Amino acid sequence: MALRELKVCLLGDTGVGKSSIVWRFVEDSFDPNINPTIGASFMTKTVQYQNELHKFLIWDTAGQERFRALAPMYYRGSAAAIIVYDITKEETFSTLKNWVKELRQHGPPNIVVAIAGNKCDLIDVREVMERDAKDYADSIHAIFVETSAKNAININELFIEISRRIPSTDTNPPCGGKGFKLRRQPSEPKRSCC
Amino acid sequence: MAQPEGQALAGPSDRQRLFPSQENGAGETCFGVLGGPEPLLRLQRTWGVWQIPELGVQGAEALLKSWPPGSFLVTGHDPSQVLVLRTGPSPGEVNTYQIQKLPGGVSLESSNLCMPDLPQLLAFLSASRDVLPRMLLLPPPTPGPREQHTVPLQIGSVQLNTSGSVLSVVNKLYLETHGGQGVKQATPETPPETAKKNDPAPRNPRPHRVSWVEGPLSPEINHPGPALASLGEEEKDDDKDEEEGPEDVLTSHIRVLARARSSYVARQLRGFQARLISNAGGPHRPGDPAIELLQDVRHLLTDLQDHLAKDPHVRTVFGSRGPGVPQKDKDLGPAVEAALCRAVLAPLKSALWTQLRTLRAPELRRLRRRQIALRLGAGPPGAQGEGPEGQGPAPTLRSRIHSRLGHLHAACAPRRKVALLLAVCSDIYEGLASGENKEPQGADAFLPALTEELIWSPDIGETQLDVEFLMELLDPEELLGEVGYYLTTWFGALHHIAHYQPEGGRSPQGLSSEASASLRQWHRRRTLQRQGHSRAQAALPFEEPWGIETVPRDQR
Repeated sequence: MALRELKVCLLGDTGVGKSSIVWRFVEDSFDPNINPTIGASFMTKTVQYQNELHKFLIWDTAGQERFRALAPMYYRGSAAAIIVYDITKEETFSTLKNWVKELRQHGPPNIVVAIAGNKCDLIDVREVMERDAKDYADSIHAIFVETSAKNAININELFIEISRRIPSTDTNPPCGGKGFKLRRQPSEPKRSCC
Repeated sequence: MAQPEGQALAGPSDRQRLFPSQENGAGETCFGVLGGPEPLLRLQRTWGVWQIPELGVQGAEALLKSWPPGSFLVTGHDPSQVLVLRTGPSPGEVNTYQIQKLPGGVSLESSNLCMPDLPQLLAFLSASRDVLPRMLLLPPPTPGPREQHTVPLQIGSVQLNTSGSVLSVVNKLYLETHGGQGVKQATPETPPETAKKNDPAPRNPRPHRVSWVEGPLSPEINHPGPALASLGEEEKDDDKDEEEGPEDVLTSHIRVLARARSSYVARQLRGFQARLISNAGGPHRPGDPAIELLQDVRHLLTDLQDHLAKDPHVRTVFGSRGPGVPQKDKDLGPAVEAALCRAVLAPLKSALWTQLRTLRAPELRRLRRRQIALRLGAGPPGAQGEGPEGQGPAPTLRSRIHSRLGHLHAACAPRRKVALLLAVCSDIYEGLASGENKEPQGADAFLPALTEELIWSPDIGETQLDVEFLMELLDPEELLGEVGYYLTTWFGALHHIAHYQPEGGRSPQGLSSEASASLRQWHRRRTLQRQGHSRAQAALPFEEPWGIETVPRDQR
């Protein structure tokens, strides 16, 4: 079974729960090797999708306004971007629309965009209507889910949908070996016995 | 197996190892000179914190206003350097002192005391006021690479009586001048440290010669050194590439090839050295000469790696290594890489870095200026809520980070540099960890914390060059994963610092069109390479986002 490495970039305002979504996605696995080796800003998880293994390489970004200029460094080369907003804060949904514009202008051409309305467990204090968010996502052909990292709602579904949207391929692009490898093993196309 | 820091074997502490206890037989503990080598080492290791040549006196005064009394900065360039000292708690209590360059060394204006160099003068002034209204408060200790066993600073001697209430500094200069009135002259058999309590130094010597500290020994003078256990583990475990190991025979073989005039390795190396020298005149090609130079390094190393991996002689040497060494073919690649780093890259490093510093001089100056501006806007390093990016880690953790950065700058092999860079990231997460919260912190917390560490780090320019070096040398496949993520984050934090606007107090809200274009070009170039089209990169120059001021104004 072929292994594909998929770079996924997380975007969204600070405090919307970007890291929490990823942590929930990764932590809920029974795989003992999924814990971050350094911290939660970069995490990986491998899932099976049809006849492929998809290894998600998840790049978290800082949502503070002062770091917004750095985003292109993170989303370049991404197969997908998850833009997270907080359903209890209208302004985070406005910020999300700016991220979509930026990705459309400067992001990779075939990037899969997913919109995640986090904290859906806090329906009492909702400020962004699900219908409005869904309509907006449809208008830009993006994946849409409302999630709760706290209650593990729609977390796996979000990544399954990303796997579904990413075009299928048999092998990794060939690597010309034009730089120093840090891994000890040779970098042949990776195969799995399962 | 390495032990956790908190469970070290029963034995001497790091403090005891660094500064062994010395009982002189009279019930006194002699600290050698100024509490052993620590003040001088601390000054040497925190050079970038206390010496800021570009900062004017007014800027230094503004910065010191929020720091505790005794804090100091040295500004200006040799020979017109100035010591700026916070003398008291009130806002206006900041004094300046001209540092005089004398034939025998340096001294403060109106002082008769002369020391061989600036760190030694400041080390003395941290234990003795001389002409100052108060002693200097040293920055927190930051142990540097392989500096744990430095010879003690020979200024004078420090004596502490058994009650711990009086510290006397016996200055050799005083002894030479006055012939030791009331002080037994130390003979070669009796070092100054062993002067007995019944032969005290005079209580009222001439001014500016000997200072006295009444009361208990200041914690600033006898500051316990930071725990070095984890650093030792990191030294042992992080990277085996630069150790003399079983692959050393391979390194020797490659060194021989590099010296043999007719060998492929020697020819490639000579070609690179010629290009390195020809670049010395400055930028002369379109694009970014620094990046082209690093591309050249990468091409040299990967080309030699490919060539040597196929060389039957190398395979023979590799196969003839001693017993207990795995001889599988798949281990040849990493072994050749490690040997190349030792035999080819290490000898080139000094010239390469000199050239990179020259080519990057304007950007590095700008980065340093912005770093200083950000420090000016902050309180003391790591002060709660006052740092430009929030609260810094504990002083011992910051010491460890600075130490690792020192090792990072000194390292040569990319694998070693990466291991140290990731170790710093790990330290930063450790500083962010908060009690019961099991959920790790993400980029919202990590990037500001990293930025804060870089703002207070010495040699920020060297860090910038290291990050660039790694981004260019590593395989594009590596840059998708964890290493790529953290390199990008360091690059981003440095970009943020370089574009800090003192007026607005924040970085620009969007990348300029030039910077955006250059990022796309960088990605495209590395992607093309990944697909084996390395020729295509020549037409794709790359200006780093932090270097966009280099774009000619008429093209903006």
